[in-house]
Amino acid sequence: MSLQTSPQPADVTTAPPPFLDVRDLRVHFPTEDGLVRSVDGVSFTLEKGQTLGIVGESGSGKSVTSLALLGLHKGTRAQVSGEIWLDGRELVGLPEQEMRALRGSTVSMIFQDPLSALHPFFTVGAQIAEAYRVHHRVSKKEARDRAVEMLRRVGIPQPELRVKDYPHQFSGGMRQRAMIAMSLVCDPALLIADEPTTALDVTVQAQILDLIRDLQEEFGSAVVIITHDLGVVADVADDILVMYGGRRVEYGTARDVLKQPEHPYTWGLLQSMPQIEGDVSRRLNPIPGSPPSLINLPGGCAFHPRCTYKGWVPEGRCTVERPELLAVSGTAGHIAACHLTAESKTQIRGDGAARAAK
Amino acid sequence: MLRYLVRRLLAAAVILLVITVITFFIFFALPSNPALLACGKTCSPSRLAEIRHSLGLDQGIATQFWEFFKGLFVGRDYGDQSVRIHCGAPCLGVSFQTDTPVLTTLLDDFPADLSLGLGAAVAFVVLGVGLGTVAAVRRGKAADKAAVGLALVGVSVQIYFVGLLLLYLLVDKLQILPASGYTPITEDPAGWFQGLILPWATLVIVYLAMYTRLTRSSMLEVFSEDYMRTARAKGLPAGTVVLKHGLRAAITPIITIFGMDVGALIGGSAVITESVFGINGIGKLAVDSVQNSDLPVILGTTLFAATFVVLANVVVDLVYGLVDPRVRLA
Amino acid sequence: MTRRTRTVALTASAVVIALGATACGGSSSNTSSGAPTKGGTLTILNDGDYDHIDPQRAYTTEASSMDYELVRTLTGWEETGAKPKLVGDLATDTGTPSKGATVWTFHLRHGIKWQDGTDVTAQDVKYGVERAFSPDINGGPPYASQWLAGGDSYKGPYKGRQLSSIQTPDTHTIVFHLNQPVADFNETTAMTGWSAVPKAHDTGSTYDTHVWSDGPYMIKSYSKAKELVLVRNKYWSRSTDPIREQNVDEIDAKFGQDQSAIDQQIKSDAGTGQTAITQTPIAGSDLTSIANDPSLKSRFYKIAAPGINYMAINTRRVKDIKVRKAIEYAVDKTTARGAFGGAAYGDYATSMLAPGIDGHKDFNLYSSDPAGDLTKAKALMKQAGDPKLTMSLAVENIKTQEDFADAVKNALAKIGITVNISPIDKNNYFSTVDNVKNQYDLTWGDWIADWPNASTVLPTLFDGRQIKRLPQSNNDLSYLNDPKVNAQIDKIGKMTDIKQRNAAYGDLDEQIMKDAAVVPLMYMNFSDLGGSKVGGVIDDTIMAEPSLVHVYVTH
Repeated sequence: MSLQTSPQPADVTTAPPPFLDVRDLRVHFPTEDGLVRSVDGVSFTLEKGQTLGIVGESGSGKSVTSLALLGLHKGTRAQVSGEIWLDGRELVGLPEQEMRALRGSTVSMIFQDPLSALHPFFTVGAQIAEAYRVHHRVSKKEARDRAVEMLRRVGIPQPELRVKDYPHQFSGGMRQRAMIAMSLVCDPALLIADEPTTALDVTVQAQILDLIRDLQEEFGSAVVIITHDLGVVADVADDILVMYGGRRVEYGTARDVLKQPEHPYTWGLLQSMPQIEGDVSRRLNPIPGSPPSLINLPGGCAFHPRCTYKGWVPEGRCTVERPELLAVSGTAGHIAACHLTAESKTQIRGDGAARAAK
Repeated sequence: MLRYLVRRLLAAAVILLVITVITFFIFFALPSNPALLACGKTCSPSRLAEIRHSLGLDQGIATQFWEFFKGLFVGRDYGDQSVRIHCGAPCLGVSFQTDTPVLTTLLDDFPADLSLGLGAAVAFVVLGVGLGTVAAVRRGKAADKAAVGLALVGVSVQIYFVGLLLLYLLVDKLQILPASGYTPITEDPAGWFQGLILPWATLVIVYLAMYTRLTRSSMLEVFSEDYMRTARAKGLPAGTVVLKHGLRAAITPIITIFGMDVGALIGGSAVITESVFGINGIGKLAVDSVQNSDLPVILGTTLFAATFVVLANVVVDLVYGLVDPRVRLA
Repeated sequence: MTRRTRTVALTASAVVIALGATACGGSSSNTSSGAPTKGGTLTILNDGDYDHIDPQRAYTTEASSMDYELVRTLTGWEETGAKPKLVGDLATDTGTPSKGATVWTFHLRHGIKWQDGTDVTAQDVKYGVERAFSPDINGGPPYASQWLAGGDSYKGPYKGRQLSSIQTPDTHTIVFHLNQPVADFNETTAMTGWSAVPKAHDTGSTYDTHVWSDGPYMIKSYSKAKELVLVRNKYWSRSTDPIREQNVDEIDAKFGQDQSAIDQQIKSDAGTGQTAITQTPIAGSDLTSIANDPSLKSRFYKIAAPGINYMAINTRRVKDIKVRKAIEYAVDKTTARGAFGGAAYGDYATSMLAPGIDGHKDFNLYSSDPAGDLTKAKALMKQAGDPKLTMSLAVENIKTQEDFADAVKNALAKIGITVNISPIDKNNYFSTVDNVKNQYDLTWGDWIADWPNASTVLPTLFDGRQIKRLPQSNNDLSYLNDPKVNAQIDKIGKMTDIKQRNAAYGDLDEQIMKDAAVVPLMYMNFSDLGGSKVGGVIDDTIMAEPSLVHVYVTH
């Protein structure tokens, strides 16, 4: 792999083309207050059987990105540009009718809060069967059997009984399992999980993540996990994409990003993450400030108003010049956008480690 | 479920009893004197006393109420002078004015109200929900603005105005339709339909507005729900998303209003429409009974209408339980 | 008699104005003259059903007019001429009084049949008149029980008892014995109560829907408050009936439509509207536009009623006659009439007896200008010592009457009288103001004579002795209890010479007006509308209804 500093990592890879290849994706929403640039030039790739974690705070554009992958912005006011190549097909320009055929079958999604994402008036079984019947010409009976089978596979006890239950009769964890069963019912090649564990308590979170990983192995799907919690992706992701203000700030293999995070925002995310094996008395350090306005992004580095280390960069470059995504030396494809020099980073990381050790 | 139903029906019976008592005592508190009205212009005290006796008004109010109440369960016999009138249980009394058992008159008038109310209700709910759905789906577009505008016009006009205008234009001026009125469906189904077109249309114009707006806002609220996004993410066609997932959820608040409206309409609340189009239903009967101080008919029509409203309440709750599985009837 | 003027209180003026603007230039129709056409169906559109058509209970003009198609009365009015003429109907002539008009004898015509072909007998008439004494057969006029000897204790025929003061020496002779002389008794007998009822077909208090016919039409079906259908009675014969014809095959009366909608339907002259007529008066809001529409002239029936619209001044509460006279001068009858519908509603009144009533005398004691004479009124108030007075005024709680009340209030304010308006529920208006417990300083009232004779106006409205006798239905709204007036009423009642009697009533009217106990406002007209194919309608000035006895429809 070359060490060229291209913002388009896809460009640097050669054939065969990746299974999922997102190039310079932009999703803008015109509003009365101005243009909201929710996603502004995001690119990434993903192979079958691999997992990508997209990490960021709310408003970083990660969920909007996932909806773009499903083509759910079609028919709304959102302006989508760029390219999304999935298994050789471009999705951004695809007509709604063709996109619809892909939804649920080739690309499917696990939504955040399963209580509100499942229809309260239909049984869990009916909702899973419906998802199956949209894409398969089968009888109601067959679809129902399929639903029972899926419920069993996601670990719902007595699935042939629970298939008749309504979502409100399920516990939170079971609802998320049902949601997963529904998204996997058509064996999708790409599974997007949007904050799949946020609404769940910690023990259930682990079970659900295990389940997603097991099912991924079984089905061989590509998985995109969207989360604000680096801890979630630490266990399951192969690659990690950190987003801020609708843009990428750091992208690389999970190993690289977690072991040697290059961007102060990633540091912040790591510090705000509780660690199960860590010291209970260790204070969590949430990132100060709040996410930026997507209409008027701060000039220069969008993160600069919240960045503790902008003083390390001379001449106030952080406030005027937008840092480019640059390859981190000594890594394969690890890129980050920050003006800090490698020396500064080493020094800061040392301080941080020292502080954390106190 | 059964226990719930029994409890609801018992509660309904209590409500009806309270309504009966209140109606009864309000009547006697008002300065109306049915005996004097029956007596005529030049009424001597002795003649007045005789008529009071013949109408049963010379007994105490409590006794009169007890007789009425008893009659509900065991029936009553009226008249000792010119004719004996038997009023079988449930006896709502015998009209002062016509000497006909009130229930007979009510049942006689009921098909008209049922035809008028139910026909109009089906039409306005189907059209209203349809228009509201279109407006919600095409939010901000021309179709939405047209539907909302239409709704605004409907809500602003009076039944009386719409009714007379329709009569004037379609019957008198253009002569497209025959004169309106009620013909029993058993007698002449085509005549039944033709005669009710305008009354239906009038009620539809007036009620449509509310249902359109209600559906639109309810739909828009549902559209922002996560499960609607889920439905799209499954790859369901837009129609299925809107009609199956959207409407199913959006319809619940409409059911409540609709139940009340239907109950009130077939219980005789379409007085003005009845009057404009010459449909002799329970609403008109009620108005006439008040004008004639015809206590048994006042009581009968009040009870009848109340029964429908109360029953509509129970039915709405039951339907709600069917539509929304989260509602537990207990 | 009363006019059945019930309306659901709705404001229709907006519609009427909107529709009126476009409704001009309709068909110009003509009530065809010449020989009546036979056959067809006449439709009657009324806003509500008749209170009662049981002839002994009918007491509204609509019901009485309808009853004349169903039943025959002892005497009746032949109204094809310039003035109504009293003729024998069931009877061969207008009856024979004897013993100073305390005994009246009528001979029945031969050949009058019931709808089943049996003969109508004097016994049937006796039974019919007796029915009215039963408390079950209520609502009718009081004359039978007032005048027939022994009537005060008789309770009707249902317990098998008969009234001995009605005698039937043979099947075609009936004799009435009265407890006082009644010179115009044979005018009373033109009311529907003086008709025959066959005992075998009497259904008591439910007879309304089972009236047995000896007239040209009989009941085919009657659904109360919905529809009454009359068909030809084949046993009726024109040769025995001096009043009626039998032209249409069927009379179909439909009830319950709002009056404005009825007016509109007949006015537009479409469909059944062409062969329809309304007995209930044109809605007040429609009256002016219909009355002034030249294209409707031939089928607009403006019928002078033997009635008076007036305001009573309570002489017990407003004791100073100067103040009462000041009120007579101060009231502006033009604004008062405007409230009731303007010129079409009626002519300004200066006396209590309308021009069509026997005994009417032309006189005017007060302002010659109907708008009033403020100078005179103020002068009278000055004579009275310019008292600062506050008076209550009772009216019905409908817009027309409240407008009228405002007109009175404004007029009296100019002479220093403050008027407090008391609107009373329309349906209970007369039962409220007729109760002596409820007295107002000023009370609105109207009165239609039961037959066109002063005897059904002045005694009813001014005999002060009824205040005690009928405490709940006192018609003496001015509470005038003048011994001179009472004595004169008794004296005229005993007169048997009709001319002398009429003159005496005219003088009595003037005497009462001198007491300034009432302000006569308008001699009323009633207005109805018919379709262009309805012919043969006569103005019935007795009932103030379009008479249907000669009606026909053209095809």
